Amino acid sequence: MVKPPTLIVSYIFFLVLLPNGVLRAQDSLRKVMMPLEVFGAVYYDFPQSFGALAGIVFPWKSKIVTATAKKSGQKEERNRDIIVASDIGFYRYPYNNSGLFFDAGIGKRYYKAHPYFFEWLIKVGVLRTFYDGLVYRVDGNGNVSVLKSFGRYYALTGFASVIGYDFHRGKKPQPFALAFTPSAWVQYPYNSFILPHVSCELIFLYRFDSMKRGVKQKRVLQTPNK
Amino acid sequence: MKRKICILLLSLLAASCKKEAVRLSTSANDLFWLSNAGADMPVWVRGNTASKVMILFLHGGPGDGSLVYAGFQTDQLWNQYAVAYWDQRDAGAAAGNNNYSNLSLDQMIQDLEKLVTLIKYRYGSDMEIFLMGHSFGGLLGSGYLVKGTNQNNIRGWIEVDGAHDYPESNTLERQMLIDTGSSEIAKGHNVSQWTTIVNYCSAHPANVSLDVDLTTDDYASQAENYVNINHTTTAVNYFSPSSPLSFGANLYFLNYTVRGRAFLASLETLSFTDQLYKITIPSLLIWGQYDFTVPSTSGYHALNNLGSSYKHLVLMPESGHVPMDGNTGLFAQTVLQFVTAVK
Repeated sequence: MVKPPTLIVSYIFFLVLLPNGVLRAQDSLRKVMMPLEVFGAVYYDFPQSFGALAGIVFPWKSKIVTATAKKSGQKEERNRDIIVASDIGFYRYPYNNSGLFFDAGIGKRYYKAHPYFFEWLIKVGVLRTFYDGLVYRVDGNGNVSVLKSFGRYYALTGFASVIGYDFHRGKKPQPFALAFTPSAWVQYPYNSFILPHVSCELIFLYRFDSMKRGVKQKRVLQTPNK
Repeated sequence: MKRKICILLLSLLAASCKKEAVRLSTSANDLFWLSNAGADMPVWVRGNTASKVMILFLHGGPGDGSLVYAGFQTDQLWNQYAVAYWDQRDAGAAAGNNNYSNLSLDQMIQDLEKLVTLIKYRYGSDMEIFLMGHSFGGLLGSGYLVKGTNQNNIRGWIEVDGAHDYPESNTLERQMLIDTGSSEIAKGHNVSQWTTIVNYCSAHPANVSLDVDLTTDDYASQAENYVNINHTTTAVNYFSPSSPLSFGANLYFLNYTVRGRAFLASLETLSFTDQLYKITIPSLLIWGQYDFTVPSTSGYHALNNLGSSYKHLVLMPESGHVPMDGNTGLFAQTVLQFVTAVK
């Protein structure tokens, strides 16, 4: 027989969970093999910079939440993978500057059974600019010299969201995906301050099923409250 | 095949070692940079460099950037002469890392000295340079010209609604707003707007604080609308070599950070009126008749104080603080006549 205080605690516990509409009933942890992905992208940075980049995506952790629909009782799997991504790329801003950048980020990928997926990523990296046109320096005596390949180093950090379509989960599975990535990032120190950027990428992502790494996968079973 | 590759590589090596030859053109569209004291400043050159005459535009603000004026406002000059649009440090598309400690008028004057040297190096020592300073550029240009022998490198001085005397400009601005406002209120024109302006200016003397002076500047800009000054409405060209994001970041830094405002505050006491007699090169003063920000009285004072024997002041009858906008054609014609006369 359940003692009254325990009953009250259990009741409060259920009340707290009620707004979520689900009860986490069962968790399990195991190791699975997940593929590495490489990607290439064309890049646009507001207002007139165009470029390209290439990178790699490592799966780091995986979580599958199996939820049961309250009315129909149908089960649905929701994948939430933590991913680590890194890329190198360049842009050219005519009559201003060109940039070479390297960044790495961590984020989360959300997907279900259908081919669409969504990600967000937080990135940090380094940017090297090269000015368009010749860069001159004039010393105190009026002597002029040309600075070859002159530019500046900046740190960069930003946030990207990814909306994609994974053909691997399509009707005829293919090992690639297409995605669109709007992002916002800043370079600093830019004139003792920051320079904001608004960019987007059109990504072609290829999964190497032959190159897999083991990641911990957590399975969570959610059942609706009665 | 190996031989061809070797020849190609040697050619590339030879080309990279060769001194840059700048081609003069009747329709130049050049970009180069001056890197000085932590700032990398772009200079866009448009127009007729083959004329051997270049108008070096000193933008206002500070912080405005020069490309804002590189469209319809000044493109009528390009056929006959070249115009160099220079973004001053921490303005427009100028870049750099931690360079704030170098942001001062003295440093900007040094930047300008080096830029003049560079233009003559790049385009030939026979290139005749005319300085055109608008608003804050009037302070910068005056500061440059009264220093040492700088004016020996300049063929002519064109000051456009120039703030060569900040305290005087602030005082005249406030007085013009009160006088014009009172008159307009009496006529029943834009009564509520003018009442706000007149009340503010009456309650806040000039040259007391940066905040008051900046707010008065805002009212001066608004006031142009209440006397029907034409501001050309064009689609904002976000897609230009000067990114609106760098422009905005630089302006934000100047106006909304402690360090940027310290620089702006340092300008509020600067005046070159008592040194204008040192300027003896031909000078043209262009002023918008309805400029509340730097009223035309300041232009007349400059005309009286300049040491030049060849000097004119031309009022633009339908203009406020930006006559190249209010009277675009007349502005271009006035500049061209002056340059042609004294080159």
